[in-house]
Amino acid sequence: MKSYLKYPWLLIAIVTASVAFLLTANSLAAAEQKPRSQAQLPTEDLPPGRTDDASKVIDDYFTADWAKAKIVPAPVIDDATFLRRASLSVLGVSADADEVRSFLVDTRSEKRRGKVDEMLRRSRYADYWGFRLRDWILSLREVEGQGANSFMLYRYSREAMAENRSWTRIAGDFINSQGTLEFDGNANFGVYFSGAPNEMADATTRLFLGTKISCAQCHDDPFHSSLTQQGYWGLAAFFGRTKMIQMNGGGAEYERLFPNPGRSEASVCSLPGGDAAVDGYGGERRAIVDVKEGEVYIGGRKPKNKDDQPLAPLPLGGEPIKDADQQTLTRRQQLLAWVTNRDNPYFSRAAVNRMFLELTGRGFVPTADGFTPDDSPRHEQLLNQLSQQFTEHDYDLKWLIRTIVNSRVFQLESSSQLEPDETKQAQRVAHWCSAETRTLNGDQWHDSVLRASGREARIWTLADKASPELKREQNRRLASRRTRLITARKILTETDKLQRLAALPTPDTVPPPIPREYQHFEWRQTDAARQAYDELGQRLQKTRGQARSPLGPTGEALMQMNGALVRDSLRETDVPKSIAALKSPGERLDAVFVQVLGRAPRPNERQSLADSVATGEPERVADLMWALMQTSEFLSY
Amino acid sequence: MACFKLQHAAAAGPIGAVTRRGMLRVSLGAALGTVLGPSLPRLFGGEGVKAKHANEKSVILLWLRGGPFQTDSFDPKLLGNDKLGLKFEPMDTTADGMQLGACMPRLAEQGHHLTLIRSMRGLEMEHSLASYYMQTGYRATGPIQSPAIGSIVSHELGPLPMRRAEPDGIPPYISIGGAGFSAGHFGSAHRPYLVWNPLRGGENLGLPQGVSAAAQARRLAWLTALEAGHPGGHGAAEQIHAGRRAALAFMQSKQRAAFDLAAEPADLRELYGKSDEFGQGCLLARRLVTAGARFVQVELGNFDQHERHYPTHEQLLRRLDRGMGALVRDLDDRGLLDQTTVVAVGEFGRTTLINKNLGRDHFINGFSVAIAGGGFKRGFVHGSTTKDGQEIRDNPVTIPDLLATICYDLGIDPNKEFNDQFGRPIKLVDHGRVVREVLASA
Repeated sequence: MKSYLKYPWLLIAIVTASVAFLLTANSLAAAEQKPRSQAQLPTEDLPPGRTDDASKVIDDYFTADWAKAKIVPAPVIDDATFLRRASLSVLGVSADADEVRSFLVDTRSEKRRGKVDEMLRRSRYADYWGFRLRDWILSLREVEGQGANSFMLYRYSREAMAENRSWTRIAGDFINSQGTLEFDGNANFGVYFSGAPNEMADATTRLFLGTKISCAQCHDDPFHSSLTQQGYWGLAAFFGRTKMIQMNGGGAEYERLFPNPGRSEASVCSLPGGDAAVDGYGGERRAIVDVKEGEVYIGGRKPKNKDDQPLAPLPLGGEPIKDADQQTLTRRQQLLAWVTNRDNPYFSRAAVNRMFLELTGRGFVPTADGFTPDDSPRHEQLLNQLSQQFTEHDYDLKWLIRTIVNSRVFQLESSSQLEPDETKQAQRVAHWCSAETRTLNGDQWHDSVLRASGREARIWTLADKASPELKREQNRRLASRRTRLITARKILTETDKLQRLAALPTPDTVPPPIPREYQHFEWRQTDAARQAYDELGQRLQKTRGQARSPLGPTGEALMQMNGALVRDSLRETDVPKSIAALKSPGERLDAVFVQVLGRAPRPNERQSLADSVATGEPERVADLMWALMQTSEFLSY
Repeated sequence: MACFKLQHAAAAGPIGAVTRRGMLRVSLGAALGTVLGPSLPRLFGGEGVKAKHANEKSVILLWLRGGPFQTDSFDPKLLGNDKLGLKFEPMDTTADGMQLGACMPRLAEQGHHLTLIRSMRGLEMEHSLASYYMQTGYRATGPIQSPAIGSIVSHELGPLPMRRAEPDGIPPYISIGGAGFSAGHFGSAHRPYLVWNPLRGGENLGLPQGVSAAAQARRLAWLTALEAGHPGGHGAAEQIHAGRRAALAFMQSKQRAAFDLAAEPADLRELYGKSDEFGQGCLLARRLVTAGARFVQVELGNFDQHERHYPTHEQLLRRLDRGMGALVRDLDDRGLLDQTTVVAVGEFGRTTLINKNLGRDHFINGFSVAIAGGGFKRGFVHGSTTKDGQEIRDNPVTIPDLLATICYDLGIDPNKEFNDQFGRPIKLVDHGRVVREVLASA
């Protein structure tokens, strides 16, 4: 690809045409909700089992691809394996025993599609993908966590997923965020990067355009001729008039814009790990706002040499926008308009690639930010088709997940044996003709252990004991938030340009209170719970891509075998007792397998473990459950 | 702990050491000489590494989280300026001309073992960025993940030779009291094994409460039967199996006894501070390197006192003094100091001027590091700060310089290049200059 993005000329037109369109985040959202054609009705309205069938696009592509490469793909997985894989992928936890049983006896031919639709409607979907979205943001920084309020960031992310906000709307909420760290989760996007224009620009390209530009911070990228230092800082100039303010050292401005903030949710609701929950944010009040003045030079907000000229905002591979500050839109809004433009294919491609990586472990490029200007992605034709459709479906993430999970390539068996011939093996991998097996991430492991032992598989509900005092505080906080927003709105209207309001929610759109089960967590109160937190390391708080925990493989295996989570899960539940009470050893064996692995035992397993639960003691049932929880089958998917 | 003591004797005893070292020299020399030709130093690149002792050495890093105040500890100044708000006068040590702050009496007794560098220069002012820089030698910019010094040492040297006969004993890199740092492009296998609390022993190393040995045997037998049905072959299963193999070997290894602090004489435990987690962490670190760990980090914090500096800071410095003083003495008594480098450093220092909240802020231009043992000089001070302690006067040492020097002393070429996760060649340490002045034989 020679020119990085071919659409800079479009920008001016877009900017002019979309002033009204983009003036508020709400209008953006509203516009997206309009159905564009009959074909794009939300698929939930279709009868169960029927979709508009973009999955077929994937299937047709690979059928042709495999035929051409003369490869026989792996067989499609059985129902039990499908349920486990889909559940871990879509909900971040294995299915419970009852669900397994009813799914296995269901005889409807379209039951897999129906199950996926049902999963997408559960609140657990938002719990899990809220974590994913939060983790995508947190992992953008090499040194994670410092300065972020990860609770509020999660709060925002979960809400966005629960409402199934479009990916463009989410991009807008982040790129154009204004507000405080402790009340506005999306404002973490700016505050996390301390308001540094180049870091915000870098984060924008990695998260939303799927490409890294940071190598060009200090020099032209020697690997990619089109990426220059000028281009890097020119992109940063879009954030030249966005700034972080804080109470300490900038108090007056902060207090003027955000008076009487009250106590935030983050201080009311303590996450597991207490202070660590807010990741070094230490209760400091910080906010991200637009300001009227501000320039970016090569190297930062100040010129390095006295001849240096301020840079005009420069879209990647485009032309500088000389009159950016004469536009009605702020610089950031102009960036947003360019990033999320329907004709910008990179935005869609990055999202499609990211979701394939999340759901199948394979991407069109190796990482979520792995697109480069000079290399073609794998299976580019399919990527383009899906990106096109994702755009046409108004960047609907659930649609994308449904499309991938319903496709054949998601439902292939993993190859249990490596092809001895290396060339052949490489070819099989390149053509995605079997599934990629991955170890569970920390969230998936934690919740699946709880579920396998019959405990509530929701980390948030381990202790739900919000005191009356705490609830009063919640209500005070909400009231205070309303006042604060009204005041902030008023001040801004009086003194500044109207456009500043774009990212501030109106008082009417103040999100509903946090559900009760999210209000208070008492992990630190019990030794075992505290240790479970320790064991996961700060995994639940800070995650980095595929990294599972700060533990190495040895420490992780020790945790899985001897740790408090598994120990207590086997001890503090009635499941072993109720399974032990079943009549025959065969029934008991079946029950243990379904409970932990979500499938019936295979004949050889029945044989080799025939004596294991023959006597019907609960301890032996627990021992067998332990053994099943240690299998590579349980620990991967 | 008879087995442990035996092992210890063999490891430290001159006969065992010489024989093993000799054998190693012969076999390594023969292999390289016949197959590759060039001498070892040339193989490693420009720095001419002394590979002879390299394989016996280990490191104990006392990680002073939050940034300790140098002027009360390793770079004391005379009182007399009220603005500085200093509390501790300089105190003579057993080394000629070397003084320490008066709150460090026990380290003062070990002065003849110490190398002090008083002219450290940092670049990052914020904790997480500065910690990353001190640990990796790289500034946290861009998408590259760099390995921490513990991971570098673990990756380059692996376990100590004494445990090669039992390959899955103690992991080479252990972090006590803190989560440790990124293994960067070396991957998760080079992350540290974590010990959250030294008094509680190795994390998850023992069977869970209420699980008998018989039950464990039964569980493992069933697990073996279950896994036999699934040959694996794919990457995830391999990774899980390898982790479990190492974990089980670790659980069953003799070296596990190293975690049992109760095996130490009561007076020695007292010397380290019997109820102090940091002191006991130092003692555990000594036991672990004796049992074969290559790099042990013990964390002490939080030194970050921006308000009311003294009560907390003094307490922390006294704990450092007791723990490190005991550790250096103990290693010396056992004849282990030559092969064990003890390094005490935080991510930066603190301002000499006391602020309006009676606290001290972050300071990067002239803070100190204390080193004892290994190939470092004994009773030596390198670099100095100005009279008011606010600037470096001579011999500035950068953070990459420090890491390069530690690597060099261990026999690791700091300029060795690696391909990072994007396939680009990067050096182990970013442009560090080996500070030969602080090394005994360089």
